[in-house]
Amino acid sequence: MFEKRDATEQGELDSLSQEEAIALAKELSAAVERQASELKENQKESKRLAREVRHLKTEIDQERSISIAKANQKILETQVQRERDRYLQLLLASSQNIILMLDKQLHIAYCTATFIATIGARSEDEVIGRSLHEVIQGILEPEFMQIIDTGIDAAVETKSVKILHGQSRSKLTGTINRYSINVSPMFGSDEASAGILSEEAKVSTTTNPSWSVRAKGTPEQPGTQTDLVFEGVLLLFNDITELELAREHAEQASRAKGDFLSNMSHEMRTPMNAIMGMTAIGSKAQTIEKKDLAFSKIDTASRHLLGVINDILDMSKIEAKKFELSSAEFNVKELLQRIVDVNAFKINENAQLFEVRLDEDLPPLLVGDDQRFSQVITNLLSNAIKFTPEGGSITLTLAVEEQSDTSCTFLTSISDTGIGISEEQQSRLFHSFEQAESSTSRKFGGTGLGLAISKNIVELMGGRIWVESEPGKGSTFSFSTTMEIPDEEHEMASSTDVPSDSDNHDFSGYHLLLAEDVDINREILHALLEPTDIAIDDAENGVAVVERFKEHPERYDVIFMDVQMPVMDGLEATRTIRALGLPQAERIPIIAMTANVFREDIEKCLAAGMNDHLGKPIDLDLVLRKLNEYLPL
Amino acid sequence: MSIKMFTAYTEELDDADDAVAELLEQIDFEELGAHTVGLITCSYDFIESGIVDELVEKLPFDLVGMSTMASASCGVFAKYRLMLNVLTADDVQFSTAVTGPLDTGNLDEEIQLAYERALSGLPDKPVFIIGFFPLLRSLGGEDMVIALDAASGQTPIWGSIGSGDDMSYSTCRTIFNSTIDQAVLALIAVSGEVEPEFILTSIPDNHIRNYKGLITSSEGSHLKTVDNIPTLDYIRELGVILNPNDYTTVPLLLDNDDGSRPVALAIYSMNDDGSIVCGGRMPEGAYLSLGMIDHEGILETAATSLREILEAAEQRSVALLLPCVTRYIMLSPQQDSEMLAAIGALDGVVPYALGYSGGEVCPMRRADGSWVNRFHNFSFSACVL
Repeated sequence: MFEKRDATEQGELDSLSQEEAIALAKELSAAVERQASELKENQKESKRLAREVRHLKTEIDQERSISIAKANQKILETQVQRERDRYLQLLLASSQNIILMLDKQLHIAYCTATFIATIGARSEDEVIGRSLHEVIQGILEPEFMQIIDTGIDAAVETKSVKILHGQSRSKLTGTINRYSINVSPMFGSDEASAGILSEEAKVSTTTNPSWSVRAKGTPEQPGTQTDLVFEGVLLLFNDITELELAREHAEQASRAKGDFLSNMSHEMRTPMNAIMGMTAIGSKAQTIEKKDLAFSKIDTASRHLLGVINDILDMSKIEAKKFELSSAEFNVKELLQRIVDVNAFKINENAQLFEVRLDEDLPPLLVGDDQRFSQVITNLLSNAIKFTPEGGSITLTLAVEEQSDTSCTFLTSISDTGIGISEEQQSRLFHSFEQAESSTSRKFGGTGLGLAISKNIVELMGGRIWVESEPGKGSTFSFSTTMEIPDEEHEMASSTDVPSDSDNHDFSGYHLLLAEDVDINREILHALLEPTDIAIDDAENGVAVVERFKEHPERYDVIFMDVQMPVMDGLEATRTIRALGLPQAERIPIIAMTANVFREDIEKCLAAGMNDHLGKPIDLDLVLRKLNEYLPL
Repeated sequence: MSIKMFTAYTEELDDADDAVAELLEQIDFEELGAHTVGLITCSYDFIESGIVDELVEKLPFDLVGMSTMASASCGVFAKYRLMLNVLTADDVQFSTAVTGPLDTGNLDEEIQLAYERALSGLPDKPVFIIGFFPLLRSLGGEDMVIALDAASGQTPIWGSIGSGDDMSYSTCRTIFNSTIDQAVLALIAVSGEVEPEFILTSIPDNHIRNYKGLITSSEGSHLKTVDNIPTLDYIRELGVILNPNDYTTVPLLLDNDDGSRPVALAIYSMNDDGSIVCGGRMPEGAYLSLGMIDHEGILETAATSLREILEAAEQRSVALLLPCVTRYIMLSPQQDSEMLAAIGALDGVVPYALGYSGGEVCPMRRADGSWVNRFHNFSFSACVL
């Protein structure tokens, strides 16, 4: 439009008319406006384009950020999932139980390592994806599988956990295992699933392993309800074999204890009945002979009752693991003689032949618990007497097996020609609460504890006890023990010991201080010791005995101290007397009289300052022996 | 129903006059009460094009707000949009103020002064404060919240950091009338007959990783070591990839152990020594876990917030929504899902305005029921008036 004009053209411009000039100016102005407008439009367009470029860049940057963020999420999700998988694998590997997760088709989806080991598979690859039937069928019994099938059916139908019990012999190991099985059906919600399934939705695994149990929606709104979709079954097998065995043993033991209690009740009531009955008879008897007969029977019955009580107490100590042996020197022959003396009457009554065979090499003196050793022999001997018919024979043998300068191992046997014992009965013989059979206790009596106690004593001595027997031909009970041989000095000393004059019953001139709170016990002791002419002063409790002694310390030669007394007990009274600081207080023999015969009770008495103890009920012979031992000549 | 809200919006970017005219047509100025303030959320384009400046000149009340990536109101939503929400009432007072450009050195003083200016315009202590905070890479959002919390005597503070158009957030702006700046804090102190309800959800529990790291060294929002190793090393050892250009999409969850729910916070900057600056303070001895932000979790928490908004709105008249812009981004390719959900829930029920936030400021209830001001990221924050 604006053409370059030279001077000639400029001259031509100057010659334009006013109108022409105005028109040109307008044209120029319009052109400028158009240019400005175009420029504005271009700028606008340019801005818009710049804006759109910026927006596009933003979109691209956003997409990049989004993809990285999503990748991060994937990483985290994978990591979480990986950790969960790892811990699931650890759970499956570490669990001691058999856990199976079955999918909808009842194929194994997960299982523990214990399951794999139980069925003898090498790895889970042999198991995962296979049906339960396929995997277990060759190993467990069909009846067991049936129980599981039925349980799964029931659990799925009721949508609840079922607990089953069953046992099966493993065809791999031959062992019978008992299981408690938790069957838990697994349902998941599936909002995408539609419709209500018909009644034939429930299908048994034995006919068709396909499940599709769904919750019912309403007919008006099929598919809009959240349906429960069957996902599979969780089986948890708890091996309760040991638990069941323990339960059975416990029930058996409980039954045995029940029988024992019943038996004990009988064993205790029978002599009590005799005691009470004979007491009544004796009190009404008109003649001395009848009275003597009654007292004799009371004596027998009370000794029997004491034996039963001692057996029960011994058994309690054994059960409480408080049964201990003492150790002292004893004369073997004298011990055997006492045993024979105690049992002689019965043997003679049964007209049985009885023989004692003593090995010449057996040392005359041994160190051990003579009382318990004697108890075992007495128990075995009394059994032999009991179970051997009239005219039968019984032999007691002690034979040396091994001997050194310091110890001797010997075998003690009691053989009889009695009724004998079957093998099955022999296996139960040394257990507490059981005799060979319950009918034995009814026929022959007895607590059934003797052999169990004897076994315990022998084993505490480091020995072994056993039986050889044949029904109808007799039995031989044997036990081996090892005891120490006392050294010669001691042996010499014991041989020069002042012989105990247990036959001396004359204690005239001696004075006994008796601390006993129970009237009848004081009365009994007075009556028993009356023939000995010993003077007796009484004290009813610990305080009284201390006072009595303090008043006349030189008067008393011996104190019999009951342990359990009111106000001050015997232990405290003994400690008090010993602490008086008087010469007589230090040397006077104090002998405990106590019904507590546990070792620790005796040790408490000795620790308090007592010299010896007498068990209750009082045995006159023992009392006389103690008096002979402790009263100065 | 004390406060009323009138909303106007435009998508006209090319002609400022047309845009402003369109906005003004939508506001019935005759209906305004004794006290009025305007809230603005808009794309940066509207700032750059001068439309905001022209609008400010035409309005008879203060205009306070922020840039945003997208917004929704009146049943419509868009990315490049300007939304004007006019709050007006007779018995509720609004007093506005703005700080100068903030930095770590002048934070407390500037905020204190701005609060006092706002306070001077009110007859009483404010019931709550609406704040529009700047995005400062060197300063966590919580540092500014703490400063305003202290200046205002623990007055509940609700608001946002703006969001920009791009992932670098270079287009984030705070708007206070003709002051449009990257580094200023604008606030509206509100007093009178108003009882706001604050609602916040962030990352659903099942999107928070259970494994936690112990914060072993930190200074405010500067997180140095976790489990005694540099923070970035800790995060990378978990397999997380950090985009050097944008790392704000990795949610960190912090348990403050005061009976309130864990707070979700973003990484604001990464340092060469392996430390990071987070959106909020990371106290030593607290525990940190990583979260996941995905479509499912975003809509789940949005739904929860919307339910609570509807419940609160039964006694109230206005709902202001500020969900985190990262949620908008992570909803891709269905980015509009959250706005659609909000529209679906609130349209026709209660006047509402939704603008995407670059960092949410919302009080949380302690176990004893009292409010504590907190800064959050990745959250759906709302204030119902």
